[in-house]
Amino acid sequence: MKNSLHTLLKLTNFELERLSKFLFTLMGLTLLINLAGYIYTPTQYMGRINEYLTQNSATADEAVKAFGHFSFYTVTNTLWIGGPIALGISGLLFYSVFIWYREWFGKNTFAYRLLMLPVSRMTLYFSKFIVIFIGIFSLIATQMVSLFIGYPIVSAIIESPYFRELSLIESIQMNPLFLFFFPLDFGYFVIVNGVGFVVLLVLFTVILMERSFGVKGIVLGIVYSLIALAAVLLPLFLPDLLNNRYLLYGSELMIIETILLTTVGVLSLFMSRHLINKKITV
Amino acid sequence: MSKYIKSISLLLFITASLTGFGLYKAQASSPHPELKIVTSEGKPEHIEPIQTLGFVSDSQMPTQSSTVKLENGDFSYFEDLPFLQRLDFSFDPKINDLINDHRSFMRGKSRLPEHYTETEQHIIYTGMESDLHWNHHSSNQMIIAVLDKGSEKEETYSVSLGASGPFYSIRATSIDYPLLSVVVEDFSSSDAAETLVYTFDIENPAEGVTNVVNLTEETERNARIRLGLHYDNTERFITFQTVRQTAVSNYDYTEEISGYYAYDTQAHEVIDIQSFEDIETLLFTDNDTLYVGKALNEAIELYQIDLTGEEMSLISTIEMASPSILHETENYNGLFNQNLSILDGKFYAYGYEYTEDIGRPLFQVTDIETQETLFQGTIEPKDTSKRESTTINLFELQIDPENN
Repeated sequence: MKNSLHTLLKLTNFELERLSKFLFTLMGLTLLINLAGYIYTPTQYMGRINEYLTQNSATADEAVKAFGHFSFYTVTNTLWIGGPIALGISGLLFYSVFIWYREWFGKNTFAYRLLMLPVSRMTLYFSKFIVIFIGIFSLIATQMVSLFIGYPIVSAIIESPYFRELSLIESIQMNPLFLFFFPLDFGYFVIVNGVGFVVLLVLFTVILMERSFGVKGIVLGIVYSLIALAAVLLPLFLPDLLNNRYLLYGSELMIIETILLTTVGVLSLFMSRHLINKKITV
Repeated sequence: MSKYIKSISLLLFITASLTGFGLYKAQASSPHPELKIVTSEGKPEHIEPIQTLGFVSDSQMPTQSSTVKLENGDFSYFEDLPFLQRLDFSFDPKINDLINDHRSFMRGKSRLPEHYTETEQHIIYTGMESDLHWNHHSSNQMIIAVLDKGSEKEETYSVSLGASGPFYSIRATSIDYPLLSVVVEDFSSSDAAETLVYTFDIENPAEGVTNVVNLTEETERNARIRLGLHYDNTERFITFQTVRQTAVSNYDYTEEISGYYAYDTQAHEVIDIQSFEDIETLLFTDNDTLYVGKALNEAIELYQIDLTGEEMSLISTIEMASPSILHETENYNGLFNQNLSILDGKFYAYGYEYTEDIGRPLFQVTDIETQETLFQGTIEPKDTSKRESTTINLFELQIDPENN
């Protein structure tokens, strides 16, 4: 047990080393684009205000009436913040596929060396899985830190008559995007991460199916993911199947969904174990 | 150890950020403004029967709003409820209470408050199959379910209304136990919907429903029927008004109230009520009594109808907290006077008090007999200086008869 845990740590560290350049680029881009947004958006607003004041000889109150107040929420609601989040999601989704295929599609088929290691192949599987989640949480943490840096910058650029005093947490809680990615609401946070967890397990299973059976594996993988999707979505159609919209309460539907997601996740894990141990040959 | 430096740094970074964020969130105040009841007259406990739901938003950021609930004089935000409770939450106070207290009975039943009546011993649900799923849109089956609160025993009956095919809509229900009165809108007629009253004897269910009165025929064929909103549904009368709609263009029409009526659930008769000329007429019912209100500028004169001679006698003149309450009477969803009602001798009114373009919900509770103002006040943010652009708009209101 201690030995396999040590191997898992070593392999995770190895995978993290390989991810690091890509991850640090994503983290850097997030910080950089966010920072540009923290400076550009309020500067542009103040520019418009100043232009209005000089052109119309207006007072600050009149300018506020014309342009409204500026708050940190205004910045969090722009593409300067939303863009890097979307980039991070798509980047890590891409890397979730790449993390497996890179072993086969190199100059040297590194997969052979990895799979021949005298450790359980599932340790390799788990190391890749953990690394993706470390990547996800690193980006979430970067976004959090970025907001803490951005708040004083925006407050400093906007002159007080035009600044709407919304606290940082108020600005964050008002943005629905953060409701899903930040632990603002424990229920939502667990659901989003739980769904992401299962999606990644299914994705890994599909990749291993393809690696095991080639083109047939792709078809098998698509069929498997469609069945998994249908199983998870089935409770949402129960009211239509039973001709009654009120038979199940929302909380009960959520519990059923959780059970089904767990089932799909566990099933994917066992299938992956079977495939990686028995079907992928070196 | 040095080869693990990146991994350890990343894990520390994640842990520190999430912990820091968690601590910051824990010490930060709620994003939803704290609200308070400002009593200008009377005692705040008289507002306790009022249950209401409203949106709290900021006039500068109108798309961002939270849902506030006022119950027993306390405010709570929907967003602060535990996750699973939020999923079961109904945006109607009456339905919400029924789900909380009788979860099993409410399973599989529609979520419209007019489908439920309650006595001390029973809860009666009356709904069409079409209310449960669109697949049943042409079903003529009415489901009546009776829950004995003491034994938790439920009896369900399925009865048919006329021919299948047309759409039936249950508009109101009223109970004079064991006789249930159900007001149904029947869309089978090609020109206009008809409103009929059916009765059902809960103690003798074998006979099914009986069509006792066709309100459309008894009043005005080409007019729409708008029902008075009652919070108790055990009153003897069901009040209604007839409304003539005249098209002024393809997209617009005007409305004219052509008559005021009450259906007597005991005598099964329609009572024609005289309206006031050139002055807005309001119609109320409470227990066994019918009231007509004359909406003056800053007061309402309440007249009680003598059922023997159908004459009216002035019983009370109530000064209103704001003249706008009487003339802002709300009519939507086929109902009228949603913001004014009488329950167990108390006159409840709500509207908005405007100061510098910001409206604050205003409530008034008055004893009809003594004309004493039991409560008058507004709902406002606690910190008005920071929250001057906070707006509160109520969208559901219920007066809890058991708490009255």
